[in-house]
Amino acid sequence: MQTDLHQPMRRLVDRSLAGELSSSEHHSLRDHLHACAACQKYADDSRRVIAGLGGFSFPANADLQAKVFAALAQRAQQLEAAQPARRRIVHTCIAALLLTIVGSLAALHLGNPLAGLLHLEPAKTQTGVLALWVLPSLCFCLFLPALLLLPARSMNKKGSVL
Amino acid sequence: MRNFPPLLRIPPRMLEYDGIMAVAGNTDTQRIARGLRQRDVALLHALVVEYQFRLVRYLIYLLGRRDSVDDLVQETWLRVLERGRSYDGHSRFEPWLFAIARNLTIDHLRQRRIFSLDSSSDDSGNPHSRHSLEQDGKPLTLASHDPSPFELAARTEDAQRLAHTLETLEPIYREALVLRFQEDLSLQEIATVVGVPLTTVSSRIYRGLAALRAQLEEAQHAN
Repeated sequence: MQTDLHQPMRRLVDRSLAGELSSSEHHSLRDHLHACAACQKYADDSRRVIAGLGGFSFPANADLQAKVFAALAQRAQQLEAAQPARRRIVHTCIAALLLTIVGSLAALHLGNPLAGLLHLEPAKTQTGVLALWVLPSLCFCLFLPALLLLPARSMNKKGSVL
Repeated sequence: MRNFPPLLRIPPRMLEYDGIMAVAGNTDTQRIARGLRQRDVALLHALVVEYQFRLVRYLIYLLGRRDSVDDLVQETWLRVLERGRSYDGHSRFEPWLFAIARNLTIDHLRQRRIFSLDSSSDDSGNPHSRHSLEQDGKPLTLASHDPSPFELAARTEDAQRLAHTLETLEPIYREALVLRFQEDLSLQEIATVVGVPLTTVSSRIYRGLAALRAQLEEAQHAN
């Protein structure tokens, strides 16, 4: 019977320690603790555990900080060095894509007059332009970043501190 | 009349969390976020100095051993440098830092197949069960009978009494305890670091506390 009475209050003590008590629960717990020695002991023991957790000291190894600083400096340099290369790659890819689009549009527009000059069927000329010019150029543009990044990545791996 | 114990105070952060930081702390976190975006090494050095001790403590609680901690600390800071742009400065820096350290620790444990920190392994109800502390199907035993990092680090009598229990406690319970009572993280922040629901975090804290309380009571009776 007594357990039934104390159990919810002990649950409240646990919840107060976890930091999830509402203001009204906080008041009812406070009132109960003032009147109940058993629950007060439970709360005191819990506080003692938490205080006990503060009684550990884990000093870091003396040289750890210096090692971390050195590793950070090295990695920061590598990242810095990789930055312009990455920017160049992005610019190259954008330029290639723009040239491809302009070139493809021009080729498609010039396809018909060219077909007239060479006495070819316009539909076949358009298909030829699409298959031999537009699609290969777009594919090349899409794979260009991967081709450019490949050597940069292998270089990064060689110099990596990780 | 007894003094009202301070433990019942509701941490202010609990009331104002949910993605919104207190105004006072916001400028600091924004400054950190800006520095990390710019890969400011001077700022990183300051963060290392400020958080190194806490990072070491968190990793020791997580691993229950001292070896590998230095490597993980170094890897964590390198990851902070590399992925600093993903920190937005809207929440505190500590949970973000501990989440990085935790992910690296999980990778490290997977590589070495020491034990699991998976959330599915914490519902046994027994905080001492060693089912997640296994190596090749056998319970993990520390390399020797050397004192555990907790025994070595205990500076008070109660800490000495708790050291053995902490050593045998499952890592997920130790982690919840250190994050709540040493790092003063809110339940929401712990849930974010650990990646489990709030109720799971609470239950881990209760069970961890219960195990340690039992140990202290036992010691009291023995005396």
